[in-house]
Amino acid sequence: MSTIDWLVMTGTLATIVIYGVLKTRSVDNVKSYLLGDRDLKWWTIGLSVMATQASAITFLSTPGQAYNSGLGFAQFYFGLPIAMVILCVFVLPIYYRLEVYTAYEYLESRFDVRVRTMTALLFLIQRGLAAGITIYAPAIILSSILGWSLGLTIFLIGIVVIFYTVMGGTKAVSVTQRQQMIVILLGMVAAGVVVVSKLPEGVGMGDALNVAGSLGKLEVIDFKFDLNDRYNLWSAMLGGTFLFLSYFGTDQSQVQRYLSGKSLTESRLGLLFNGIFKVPMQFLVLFVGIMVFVFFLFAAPPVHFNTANLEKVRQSEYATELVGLEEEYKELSATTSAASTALVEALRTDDMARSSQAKAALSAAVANRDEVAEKVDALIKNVDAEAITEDRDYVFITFIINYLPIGLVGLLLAVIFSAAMSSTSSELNALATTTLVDIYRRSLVKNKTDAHYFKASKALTIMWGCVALGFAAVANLFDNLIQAVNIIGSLFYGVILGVFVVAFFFKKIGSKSVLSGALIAEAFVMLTFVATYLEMFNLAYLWLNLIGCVLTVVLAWFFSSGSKVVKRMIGVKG
Amino acid sequence: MSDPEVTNPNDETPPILGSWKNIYTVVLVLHVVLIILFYLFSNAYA
Repeated sequence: MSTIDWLVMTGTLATIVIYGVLKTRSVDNVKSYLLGDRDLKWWTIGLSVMATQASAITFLSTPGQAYNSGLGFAQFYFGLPIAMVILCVFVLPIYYRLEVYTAYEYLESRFDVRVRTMTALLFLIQRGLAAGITIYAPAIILSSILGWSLGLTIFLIGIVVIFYTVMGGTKAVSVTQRQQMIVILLGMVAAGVVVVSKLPEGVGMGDALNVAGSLGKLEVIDFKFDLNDRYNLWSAMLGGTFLFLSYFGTDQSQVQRYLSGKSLTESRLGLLFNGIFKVPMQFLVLFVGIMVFVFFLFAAPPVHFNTANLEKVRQSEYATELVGLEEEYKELSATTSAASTALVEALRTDDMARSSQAKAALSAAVANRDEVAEKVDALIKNVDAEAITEDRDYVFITFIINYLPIGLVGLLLAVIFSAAMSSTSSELNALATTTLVDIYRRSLVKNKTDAHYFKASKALTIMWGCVALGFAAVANLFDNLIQAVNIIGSLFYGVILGVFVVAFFFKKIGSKSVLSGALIAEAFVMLTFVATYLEMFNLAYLWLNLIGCVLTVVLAWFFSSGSKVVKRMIGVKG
Repeated sequence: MSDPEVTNPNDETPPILGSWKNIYTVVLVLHVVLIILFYLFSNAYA
């Protein structure tokens, strides 16, 4: 990496962190530390909510997802605008009226302290696990670029985030996120423009789209109803809406962002801003991935994108075999490039037969290339049976490092770091807040001074930072980072949402019923996930959100009054 | 007796479009339009 890139990257990141620390020097009490004086305007809330969700994983994994599977992943976000409207109508007014610090605080006023504690603990478990993954994602990049050890890289990233989150609390998180999100959006647009400009002379954006479309990469919408299919319109609209309702309505890392708003109006506008712009933003990120795919049809990609895996093979007895496969891959890439050019020319004519022939030739060339890549994957497995051969998370970063001009490489790396820092800081802030407000101050150490709880908030932020660093160290166990985060979320979000649905809409159901219902539903969701993991049956993970939520509500109703109704029905029939 | 501290938050009027109902409708309509555009985009390049 050039000196200019280093200067751009460190300069951008340092400016954001220093700005965040300077803007929050006056934070000296618990309320200000956890709620940020409640003075944020809607655009800061909107960008902060967006930045919390858009982790580095989003910018590493998502273009790779498009590279491999096309634009279908965009459907995952289709439930988000619906969820935003539902939250603005039903949930935000209640949080504002009760002036709560956390979402779980509301549950005590509705049920009792047991339900509040259980839900807070479910949140702490799932968010604590996910925080580790959001640090791990950018660490794998830096470690591979700089040749640093992964452990050291994870430690350095974690320390910077912990530093400014501990210093300024929730306000530091929000004001830095606003700057980070601006850098992220600028960086992704720049990457999109550069990738299109890097296409061969005479091949324009329209040609690139025609080629990608011919290979089935531009199918955004899938109407087919299939429980096993991770991304289709129905799983997105049903499962996705439940996931986002739970994530934005009950996950403290998001709730804390909009509770810092100056008023209910500012918070609502902040969420609706996301409802309008989140889907197009994700589409943009996926679209960049598609352009990278087309770019690598004309230019030869590496036979495997994870250089660390290739290095292992080079140091082994299979090194010669790898060199042979790399040569073969290079030749096939030349064939692929020629076939792509032929398809571009064919598509410009109205000759259907010629287009079909060119398309078949390109598909065959890509398939041949993939076959060689699979042989390399097998070599990697021979050298290290535990190695992860899935390399889509490395696609975009490989493009950034090798093909972006000097200066933009630094900016794009700053984008990935900004994304990692913004989502991790929100998570640490939320984990510390929930632990302090819902567990420590509520049940463990009551009636202490504000100064005591202020110090405890900072100590808890450091503690959760250390936990996240610990999980980051073992995050390589997951084969795809973005899915790992979403799967972990789906295991808990449904039940948490179910508890909140009962709280909001079933006023006659009491704490004992909802507590029993939630515990049984969580056990059922876990067993279902284990059964799918063991391939006893197939079920896409988004459905776990719906199952957890519906089961919690139904069981809570059954334990509350449903059992009496059922007994009466049986009695009547008998 | 009503609690004077508790105001109805729904009384807050939005800065544009007159009512929250109108704003929610615009957000959802834009979403439907976006899905239709995605559908047309997929078909155009299929």
